[in-house]
This record gives sequence, C-alpha cells and structure tokens, in this order.
Amino acid sequence: MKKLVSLALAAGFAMLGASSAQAISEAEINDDITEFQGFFLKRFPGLAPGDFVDGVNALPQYAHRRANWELLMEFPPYEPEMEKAAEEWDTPFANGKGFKDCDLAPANIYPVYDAASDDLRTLVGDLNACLKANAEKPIKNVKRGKMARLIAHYKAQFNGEPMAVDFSEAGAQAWYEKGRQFYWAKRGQLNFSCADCHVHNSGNAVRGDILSPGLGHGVGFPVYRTKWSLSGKPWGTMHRRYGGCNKQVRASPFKAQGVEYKALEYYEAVMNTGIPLKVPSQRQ
Amino acid sequence: MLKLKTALIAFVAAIAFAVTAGVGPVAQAGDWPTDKQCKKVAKDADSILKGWCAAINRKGGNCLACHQAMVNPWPEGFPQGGNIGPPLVAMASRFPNREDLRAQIWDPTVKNPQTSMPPFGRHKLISEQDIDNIVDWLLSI
Repeated sequence: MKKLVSLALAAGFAMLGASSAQAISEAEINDDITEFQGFFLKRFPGLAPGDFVDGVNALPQYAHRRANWELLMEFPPYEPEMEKAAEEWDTPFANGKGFKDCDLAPANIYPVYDAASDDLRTLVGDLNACLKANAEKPIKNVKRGKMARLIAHYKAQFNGEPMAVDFSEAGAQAWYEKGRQFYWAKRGQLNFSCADCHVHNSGNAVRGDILSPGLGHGVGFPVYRTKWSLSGKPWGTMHRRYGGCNKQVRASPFKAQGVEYKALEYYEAVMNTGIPLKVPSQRQ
Repeated sequence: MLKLKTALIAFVAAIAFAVTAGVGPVAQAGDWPTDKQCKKVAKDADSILKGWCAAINRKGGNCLACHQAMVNPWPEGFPQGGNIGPPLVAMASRFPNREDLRAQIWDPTVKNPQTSMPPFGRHKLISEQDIDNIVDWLLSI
C-alpha cells in the first residue's frame, strides 16, 4: 500500500511538470487491484472478498452493531420503495417504449468507457440519455429520489454478478489515472484523502462510527440510508455520497455526474473487480 | 428539580475546587465538562479548562474524533474518543518541549506528510489562542 501511495504521489508531482495525465498500463492497473484488495484481506483476516459487499457491517470492529442491522434487514426498510421503483421502471414512455428498451450495459461493467467520445458512460447518464432519445424529460436530480430508485431496480437484476469494468483501452486508463489521483490526494480544510479514511484507517473508530473499507465501496449503491431517511430523502447515488464525503472534509463538493466523480467512480469500480453486486444496500 | 440539581452540582464542584485548589495548581478533579456544559464555561476560566473545551468541541479541535483522552474522571455519559490517532496520555513526558507539541498541532504534516491529522494552525481550523489553550490542557493530563 505504501508503494501505491508513493506511486500516487510521484504521479502527482509528475503531473505538475507535464500537463497531460501520466500513462498507466493495463498490467499496472491489474497490479493495483491485487495490491488494493490484498491490503484489505490482510487487514481483516477471516473475511473473504465477497464479504466486503456488506461494507462496514462485515467488519469485526462493527460486530456489536451488526445484529441491529441484521434485524433491520429482516424487513428491509427500502422494500416499499423498491416496489415503487419497479412501477416507475415499467411505466411506458409517451412513445410507447420504456426503460426496458434502453440500450444499457450489464450493471456490473459500469462505468463503461466510450472511445468515440472519450467519456465514461455511467448508468445514471445512460438512463437520462435514453429518456432524451425517447423525447422524454431527463431526470434532473441525479443524486437521489427517482433516479436512485431506477438504478436500484436495474442493478438489482444483476445481484451476485462480479464487478468487471473494462480498462483495456488507453483512454480508459487515463480516466482510471484521474480517479486514482482523486482517491489518494489530500483535499479540503481537514486535509483528508479518500484513502486516509477508507484505506489507512478503515475499521478504525471516528468517535462512535467505524470507517468503512474501500473494498466493497460502490457495489451496493444506490444506498438507502437511515440518516437520509430522516429528511425524507433516503436514497443516494454514489455521487451524492461523494459530495457528502467532500463536505465532511470541508472541501467544496464537485458536480454529480461531472468529470471528477465519474473518474472516482471508475477508479473505485476497478478496485472492486470481482466483488459481486448487492443492490440496494441499507446503511446508517 | 433541574435547577436544584444544577445548584447541587455547582455546590459540589465549588467544594471540589476549593479542596483541590489548596493542594495543587490545577483544579480539575471531577470538573471536566461535557461539550454542552462547555457552553456555560466562563470567559475568564483558566486556559486548561478552555483548552479541554476547544479540544472536545466538534466545530473546534474535535480531537476526540480520533484520539482518546485520559482525563479523570471521564464525564458521565460522554462518548469515548476514536482510535485513529494515539491516545492523549502522558503528554508532558512525550513532549518535554512545549513548542514541539504546539508545532505538531499547528501542522503535523511537517513531520509526516501522510498523516491523517489535519493541520489545525496552517489551515486555520482553530484560532492560535485555542491552540495555546489546547497545549496547556494537554500538558496538564
């Protein structure tokens, strides 16, 4: 892991000199995955890679609170919402078509790199593109509510499928590098990187809370959170959570579905290669 | 009833203060306030007490988010600290030079660029006065 840090640092400094992102190869990315996942397997002995889908609930450090979560999951609080999601998914567009006709990739390979536009396709972006293509209004709020429900409904069809994001193209590798820089760079008034909390201090206690491990991040999103349900908006996409994290380290959040968070989502998805989807997830 | 209780606590605290004040230079036994009680701490309170209050305030130093602090007795019902940083114990022997401790709080990235600890002074997270008070408090525990 230290190597990965210095690598990120070195790349960061190199970026200052060169204006374009440093090239990283497919083999190096594969090494990153092995190192990243190996770190967590060593840090939490007794956990198999698939156990990390439950996030913080999987950790022995959280054992005293896991029973609560299991009790909650006997009648998951998101179930009525999932029924609503299914109805929304099945409601036809004005032209008679529906979400089922959208050109979507399997949920376990998002974000998908599109060489023609040199852009990352997220599931959120694809759904809105599909709405537009069918002369429907795109969904404005891409952080919560209906959009989160729709992607929960779609991704849940792929539960158990291992994450398998493709990073074989050079353009995709550049996006990966951008996301990696974001993950390992310190930011905000509190000067935290994503890795400070979710790698180096994963499983440790911030006062009464346990920091979730980076392995497993994203495979359960969208998330249904108790905290968010208090304000009547229980659902959140990855990018809603990223914004919250950035605010917590006292940094300005970036735009949901903007370049920064798409790159970060891509990096996290690649780091979770092989970890099965488990959507939706319930967290405190 | 609540008023009576508060008055009683104040009375006991006053006695405790009177007793310990005569013995040692620092009156602290039994009177470490919680963050709520800190709001009522007088402006002319000593720097150790003010330091403790700045340290436990979530919008201040929020030291307990990451560190356990060994004050005795621990305020009743007050949540323990986290375990991201080392526990704050024996600070005077760990930092014989006061300025080293102050510098560590002001910008811990000088000694370790990868540290998770925020640079409280450099990023203006808390005031210079708060840092001085926190140093006073730390050296007293």
